[in-house]
Amino acid sequence: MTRRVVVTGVGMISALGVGAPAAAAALAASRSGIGPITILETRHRGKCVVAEVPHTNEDLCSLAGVGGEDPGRTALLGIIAAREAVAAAGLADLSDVPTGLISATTAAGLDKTEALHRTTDARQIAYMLENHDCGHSTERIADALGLRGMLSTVSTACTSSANALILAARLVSAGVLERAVAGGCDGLCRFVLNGFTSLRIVDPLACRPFDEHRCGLTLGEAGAFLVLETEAGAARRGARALAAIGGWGVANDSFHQTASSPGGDGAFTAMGAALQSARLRPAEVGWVNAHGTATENNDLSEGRALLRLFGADLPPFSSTKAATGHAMGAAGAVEAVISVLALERRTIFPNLNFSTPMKETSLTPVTAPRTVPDLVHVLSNSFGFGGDCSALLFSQA
Amino acid sequence: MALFVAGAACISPQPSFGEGLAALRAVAGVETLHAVEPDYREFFPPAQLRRFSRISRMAVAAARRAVESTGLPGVDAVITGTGLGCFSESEKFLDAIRDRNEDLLNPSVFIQTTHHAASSQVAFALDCRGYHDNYCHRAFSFETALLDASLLIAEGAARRVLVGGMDELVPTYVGYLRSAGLLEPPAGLPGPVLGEGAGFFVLSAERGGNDLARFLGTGFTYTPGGGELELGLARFFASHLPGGGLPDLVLLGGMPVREGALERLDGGFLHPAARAGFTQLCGEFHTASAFGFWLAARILHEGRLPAVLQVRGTPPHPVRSVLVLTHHQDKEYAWALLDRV
Amino acid sequence: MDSAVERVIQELQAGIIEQLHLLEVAPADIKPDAPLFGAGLGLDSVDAIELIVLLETRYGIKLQDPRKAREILTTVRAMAEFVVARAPASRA
Repeated sequence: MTRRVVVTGVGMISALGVGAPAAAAALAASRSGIGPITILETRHRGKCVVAEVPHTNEDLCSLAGVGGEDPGRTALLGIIAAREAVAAAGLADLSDVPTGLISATTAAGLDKTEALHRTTDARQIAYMLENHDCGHSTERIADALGLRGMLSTVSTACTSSANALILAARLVSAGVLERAVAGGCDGLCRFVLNGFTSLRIVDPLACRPFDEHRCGLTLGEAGAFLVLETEAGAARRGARALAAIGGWGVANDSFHQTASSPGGDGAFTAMGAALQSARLRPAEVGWVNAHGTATENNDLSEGRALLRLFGADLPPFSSTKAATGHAMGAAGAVEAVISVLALERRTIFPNLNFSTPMKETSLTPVTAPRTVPDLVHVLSNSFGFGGDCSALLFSQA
Repeated sequence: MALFVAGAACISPQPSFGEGLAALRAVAGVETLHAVEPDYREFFPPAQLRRFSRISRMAVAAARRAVESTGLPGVDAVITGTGLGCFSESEKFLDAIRDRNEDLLNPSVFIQTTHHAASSQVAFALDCRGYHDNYCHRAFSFETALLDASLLIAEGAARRVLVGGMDELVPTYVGYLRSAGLLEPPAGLPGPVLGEGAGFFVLSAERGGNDLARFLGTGFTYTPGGGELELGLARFFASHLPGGGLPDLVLLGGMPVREGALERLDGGFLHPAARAGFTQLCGEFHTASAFGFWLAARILHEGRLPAVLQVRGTPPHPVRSVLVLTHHQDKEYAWALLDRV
Repeated sequence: MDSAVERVIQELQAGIIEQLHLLEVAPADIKPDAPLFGAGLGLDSVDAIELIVLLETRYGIKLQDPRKAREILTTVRAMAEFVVARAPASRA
C-alpha cells in the first residue's frame, strides 16, 4: 500500500530564533543567525563564528517546559521544535491514531559527556550515561509529547534528519504508522567544533556557499520537526496540509570517508532518485535547497551534480546555511522546514554571502528573496561524511 | 512479506564467526565478555587498517563474510544499528581535547567518532552505492535496521539488503556503568555480563541456495503500558506467524538483570512456548539481538538446539520458529521473528 | 645542511608512522624520494592534515592550508628540506 504523505505542522528553533515563523521572517529579510560564540565555553571563542541558538540551557529549559535536571542542549532543542510542530498541526493528543517518532542527531549528549568525562562522581556519571547516546533526546521528546510505541533515531552525520524524514514518510505511506513526528536536533558542543576545526574546514568568518572564495562551513545548532500524516488522515480531521512529500532518494557516494567524489556521483544519484520517485522531470523543480556547506569539496561536488542532473534546466538554487549555519544532524530537517515554508509563502530564500561563482562551474545561486507564484516543487539536499547522499522532494499539497 | 536470511556472520564473545552451534560454550563468573576476533589482515590491506577502529573492523569483517556466505556478490543496500557507535574513538578525542586544550587535534580520530563511521566503512568496503542508513537507539537499533530493510524490499527498491548490528565494549564505559551502580544485581540474582559484537545478515526477497532461515518480521515499542506488550505481541504473532499461536522458541535478552515485563512474559504470556536466555552467551549490549538473530538462524538451519542453551519448557524437534525478544531498562522492547525455510 | 636534512628524514620516517598509525610499516619502508600522496605511500587529504599537525607539534612550523601542504610535502625529503629551511635556527 502506498499512500500520499503530507506535512501538517512544522516546528523549528535555530540561530534564526524560536519558531518556524521567526525563521521564515529572517530568511525573507536576508538576515543571518551567524555571529560570535557567546554561549559555548571554548578556546575557539573569537577565532571563528557559529550559528548559535541565542538562549542558554536554562532559558531553553523554560521554553521547553522542562523542570528538574537539564536533559542536555540537543534534547531541549528537539523538545521545543517537536512541541511547536505538533501544536501547529492542531494536535493536542497524539493517541488518536498510531503515531511514531523518528528523530535524528549526531552530537547527541556530547555536551554533557565532554563536560563530565573522567569524573568520578557517581551521580554525575549516571547523568552522563543517560544523556550520552543518540536515543536519549528522542525519548525525552517522546515523553514531552506523551508518545509511546514506535520511535527510533537515525545517526548518519549530516544526512541524519533527512533520513529520519524519509523513513517516517515511508512508514506512513506503507501503513505501518498513520502519523509520524519526524526531524532532528543537535546542540553545539566543543567536541564537534573541534572535530571540524581539526579537519580545517571551518571558515573563521561567516560561510560563503558556492562562492569561489569559500573556505569552510559555519557550525550551527537547531531542532526541527515535521508532522507527517496521510493525505486522507489529515483531511479526515480537518487539518490543513502544508505540503506533500512527493519523493525521496538515498545513495552512497562510496568515494572517501570525508570527501565527496569530484563528479558528485552520490548526489547525482540521490537527486535523480528523488525526482524519479516523484515522477517529475528536472525542469519541473522550482527551487533546490542545496546542501551547500561552503566547504571547497561539497559545493564543487554538489554544483557538478546539479549540472549533470539538470543541465540547461537548472532551477534556481540556494544554500540557506549562510543564514542558519550547518546544524549537523538537524540540518536536513531544518531545510525540510524551510522548504515547506518556501512552498507556503511561494518564496525562494536566498544564499547569503555570495559574490563570485566557482570558476569550475560558473553557477550563481539566488542571492535575494524571490517571490515565485507558481512554486510547486522544491528539492532539498543533504550530503555527509561517509558518502551518504539524501534528497527530499516537497510539493504543494 | 517473508524474507530469506541468505547469509549471516557474527563476531561475538562466542566462537561464532564462521562456525556453527557446536562451537558455542557456556561462560560463567565474569563481568565482561570480549569478542573472539578474526585475524583482520584477511579482510583489510595492512595499509588501510589504520582507518578502521575496532568496531569498524568487526563490522567490515562480519559484513564481508555474511555477503560471501550467500554465494552471490554484492548487496543493494546497507542498513545498520548501533547503540553507542564508536565510543573508544570518541574517548580518544575527548581526552585529546582536554589534554591539548583544543589545539593540534587529530582529524583521523575525529572522523572515526561519528556514530555511523563503522556503518559507512561497511558500505565503502562493499562498494555499495545504494541506500545506506544507520540507527542509533539503544535496544531498537538493530530492529529499526531490520524494519527499514523489510520496507525497502517491499517497496521494490532493493532485492538484497545487508543488515547489521554492532557495539563494542569499552573499558572506560564499563567503569562508568560500575561507578553509577548499574552493574549491581538485585539481591540473589547474578550480575549482568556485558558483551560486544557485530552480527550481519543478507536479507533477500528471493529464495537462494544457502538460505539459513526466513525472517518474518520485527517490532519495537517504547514504554508499553500494562498488558500492551502482550497485546502487541499477540497481534504480531497473528499477522506474522504462519498458523498463528506462539513461536516454538523464544530467545530472551536484556539489561539490567531485573527483567520487569520480560519476567512477566516469561512466567505467563509466552507459555507454553519454550524460552531461553541468550545474553549469557554473548553478554548484554544494545545490539545483542543481532547475536540472538544469528543464534535463531543457526538453530533453524541446523535443526537442533545448542547444548549450552538452558531451555525452559519443551520445544518441538525440530524448532520451526524462533522469536528474539530483548529489552533495555524495562523501557524499550524489541523483537524479531524467524522461521524455517 | 645535508646532514640536517638526513637527520630530519629519519625523524620524519618514524614520525609519519606514529602520527598516521601506519601499522606494519617500518621507517625504512618510507623511501625518502617516493611520493607520499596518490601513488607511493598513498596518503590522502586527511593524512595531509595529520602531517601539518606533525610539523607543528614536532617542529613548531604552522601550515594553515592542507592544499598547500600537499604541494610542498611531496616526498619525505621535500618535507625534511622544508623543515630545515623553516625551523628556528637552533634546530637546523
